[in-house]
Amino acid sequence: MRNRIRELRVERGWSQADLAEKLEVSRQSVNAIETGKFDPSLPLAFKLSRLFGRKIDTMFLDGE
Amino acid sequence: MSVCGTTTPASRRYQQRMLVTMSLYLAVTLGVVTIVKHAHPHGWLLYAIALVPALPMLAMMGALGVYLQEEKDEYIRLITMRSLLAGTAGLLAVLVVNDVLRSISGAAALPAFTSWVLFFVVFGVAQAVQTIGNRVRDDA
Repeated sequence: MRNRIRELRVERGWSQADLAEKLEVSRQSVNAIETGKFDPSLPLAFKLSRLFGRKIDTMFLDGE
Repeated sequence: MSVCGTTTPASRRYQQRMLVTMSLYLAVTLGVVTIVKHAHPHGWLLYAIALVPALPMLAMMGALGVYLQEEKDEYIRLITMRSLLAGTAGLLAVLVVNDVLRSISGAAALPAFTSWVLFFVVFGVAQAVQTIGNRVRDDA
């Protein structure tokens, strides 16, 4: 699934390692999410939502 | 176990458990071989003694199960589960081909412990392939 995680992260000047630390996951997880190789679970998606202050459906794009 | 070059608290505990069970396996196997060689047990006692080294091997499988339960990083857990599936599929494929060859063309059975080694080799290769597929740049 396409998403805007990388864009939102870069806007805040965070590295993948920074975001991984805030989410309490590995940097590899962040990379896999950003590149669309892995879709996070709902709890992790909500964590991203709280962290970026955005609704989930504005961060993850429905793959039409 | 390091998945995608990442070591998590759960994977550190898994490594410790594996180290213990592997050490136990080596010690138990050495003891059993010595007993069988010198005491020449037979009958049910021989079977009972021969089963003992299998226990730490089963414990290794248990350690994998515990690791999957303890791993909090869902992506790392997914990679491990995919690798376990690859290991199981690789093992079943080789065993079923060998079974067919044995039953139809009279081929020999695979040497002892082939399945054990094969499972972990395919498991490791699957992890390595997925790690390479998700390399992260240092500047990202």
